[in-house]
Amino acid sequence: MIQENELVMLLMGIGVAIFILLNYRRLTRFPFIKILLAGFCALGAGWLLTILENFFWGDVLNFLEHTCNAAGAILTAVWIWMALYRSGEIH
Amino acid sequence: MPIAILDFIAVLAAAAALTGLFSARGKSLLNRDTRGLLIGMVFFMLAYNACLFIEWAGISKNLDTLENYFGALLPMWWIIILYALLQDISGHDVRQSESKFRLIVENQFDLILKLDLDNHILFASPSYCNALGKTEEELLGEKHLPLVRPEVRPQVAQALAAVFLPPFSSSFEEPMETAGGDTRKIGWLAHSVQAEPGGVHYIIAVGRDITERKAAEEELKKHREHLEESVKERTAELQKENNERKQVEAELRKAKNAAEAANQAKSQFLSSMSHELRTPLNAILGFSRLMSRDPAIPPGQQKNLGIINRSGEHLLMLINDVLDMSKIEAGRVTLNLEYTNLYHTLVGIEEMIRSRAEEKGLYFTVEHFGEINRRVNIDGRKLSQILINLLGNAIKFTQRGGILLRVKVPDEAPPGKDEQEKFVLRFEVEDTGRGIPEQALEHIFEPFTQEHKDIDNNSGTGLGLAISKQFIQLMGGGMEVESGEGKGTLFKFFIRAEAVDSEPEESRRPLRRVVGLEPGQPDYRILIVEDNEANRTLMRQLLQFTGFQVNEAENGQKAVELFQAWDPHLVWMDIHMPVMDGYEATRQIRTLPGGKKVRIVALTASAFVSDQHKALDAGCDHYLRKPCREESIFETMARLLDVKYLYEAAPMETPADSPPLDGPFAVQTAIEALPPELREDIQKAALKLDVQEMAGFIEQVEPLDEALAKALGKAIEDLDFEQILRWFEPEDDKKSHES
Repeated sequence: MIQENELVMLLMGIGVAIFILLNYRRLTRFPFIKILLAGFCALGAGWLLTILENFFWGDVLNFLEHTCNAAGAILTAVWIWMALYRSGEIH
Repeated sequence: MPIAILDFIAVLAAAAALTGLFSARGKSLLNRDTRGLLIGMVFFMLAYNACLFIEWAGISKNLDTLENYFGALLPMWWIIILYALLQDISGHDVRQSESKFRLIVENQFDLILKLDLDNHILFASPSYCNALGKTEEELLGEKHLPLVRPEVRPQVAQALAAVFLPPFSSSFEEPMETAGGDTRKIGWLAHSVQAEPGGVHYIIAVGRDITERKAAEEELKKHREHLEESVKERTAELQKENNERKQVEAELRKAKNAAEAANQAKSQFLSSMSHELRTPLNAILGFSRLMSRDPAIPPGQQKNLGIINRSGEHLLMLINDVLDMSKIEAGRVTLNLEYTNLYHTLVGIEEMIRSRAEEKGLYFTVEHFGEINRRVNIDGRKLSQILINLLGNAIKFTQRGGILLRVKVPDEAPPGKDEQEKFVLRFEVEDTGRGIPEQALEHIFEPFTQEHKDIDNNSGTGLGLAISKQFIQLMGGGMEVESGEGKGTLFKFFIRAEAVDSEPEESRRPLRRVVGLEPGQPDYRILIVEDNEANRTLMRQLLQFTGFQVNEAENGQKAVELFQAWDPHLVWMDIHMPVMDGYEATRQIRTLPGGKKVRIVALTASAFVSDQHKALDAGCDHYLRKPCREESIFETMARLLDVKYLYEAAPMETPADSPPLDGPFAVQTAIEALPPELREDIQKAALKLDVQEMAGFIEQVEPLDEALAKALGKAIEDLDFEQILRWFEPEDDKKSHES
């Protein structure tokens, strides 16, 4: 059964994705921004999968959801470290 | 269980991210706010994943509320973070821009100030701070004017106030005391600026150290002033020089005019002198010739008359030479090439020179080599002048010994008349005189140069050699001199002459003496217009004697009157006359009835061609230069009136193919043709002064050469044995004597 918060997360994630698409050119001036955006995509995929697991392949999709969550966290962490420690300036 | 591991990994990653964020404090990439927001986001990620892990690990149950809370807020955090990042970028751009401009401003040498309306300093560039020796903090908020030197404060305040009026900018200069104690001159340019429409006004003032520039300007100004002074001075100098030059030019012009006037006067003088000398000479020559026509005059007197005539001719030649010198000076000398019999030219010269040499007790010998009878086209008058001048000098400067003239003529004439084919006549005049010092030889051909003035201060003008050299050069030749003090002098020169194949008709025709007019001709009326009575009489006698009707007028006016009354066929018109001159008389006659057909011949004593042209322009048919030969007079009349003459039987003394033996030069030539034995015998007889023996030898000579026999007979008659001995002197003896 689909939970409300999962749906809210997905909708809000779509909004974030739209925001990213609209401001993509400016955001690319940040160093390694693609890593951060990849992290967001991983999280977004997790939010989608948690909806989908309610309809089919519940266990598999649930596993994939958690995998995406972990990937999102890892990519975010990687970006933070790279952006803060390996980059000097905004382009 | 694997899901719990994944969640745990996620928790670890989020924790690592948080660690990174916290430990990255002070890094400039993210500003403080963005970093805080990012921490919040990662915290929610950590909390969400931690809830998942706790649930899946079975550590605790019923964390759904927390999980839902953190999970639902997570996307919102993402939006916030991304927005913050974008803000960061904008802020970064601003900072970067500020940094860039600050960098520019801080590295400016120019002084930059930002002031508010109350003259407080809002910004001061490091250069301004450094100049005053203060920090920016010390200056910010301070009033600007107190920092300005008191004496210029009013001007500065006024200039700063002016920036709020159009054109909203002003400039001023300010002496500034620097921290180093120097006083620098600062040039300021101030603007009023408004940050935004309707906003507050500020003053931005930019100052530049113009001390060096001002100093340079001052220096430049000084230089300019100095330059101006120099230019003024130089201009004044130039003006002065110009004035002086103008003055010199004026003087030169004056001198030139004076010289031209003097030259004109000289020409006038020469013309007058020429006239004055020629007029009496005309009478001398004319009467001597007229007298020579008289058969009653004995042969001895005839000879004297001949000498008078020849001397007169020579005098005339000298007058012409004086005129020639003036022509040389004017560069107007020309060659008058005419048929010349070299032999007769030399005989004439020899006669003239010999008598002078003998008067001084000097011998005079003429040697010739080659074809001496050659007919040539040369300027005979100039050649004679050269030789007479050189020989005359030789006589003048020789006290003992004598003079030798050598003439060398090529035996064979060249085939043509081209310049290269002209043959060369060589002449040498050698004397045994005192010679010329070596140092004087260099100047001997210069005009007005005379050596041995001690001999005769009044003889010659010093022009002779200069004229001779000019003439020789004109004839394509050259002259040189060899001499030494006490060694005698040798002048050598050559000229180029054109060979004449046949003698011209005119010169071959014997000049026979006119004795009357052929019968059956009209009675020719000849009017003689001449102011000089002697010349008039001469002309009248000459023409009347021939058979012309003659009338006379002593001036032009009378000539015009007489022309109207008498209607002559021909008028001999003198040019220079009192009352009315020949030009005017001719012009008036030409306007009278019958004036067109009458023949008028000008008689001018002027040597200038311009005067002769003037006579032709006035209406004369022809002109003759005084003194004129009688044959020229008759020939002119024959040509103009077609008069036919009667001539005497014997020709006048004239160049002929067979030269008369009337000169020692000719006698010598004849003697050389005698048998050597006979020459020796005559010489011995002459040495013994034996008249009888000499007469016998003359009888032997007569069949061989009648003329020579006569010459010898005359010498014996005069008892002139010295002359005979000179003639018969062997050639070797002559040479040794000369050397």
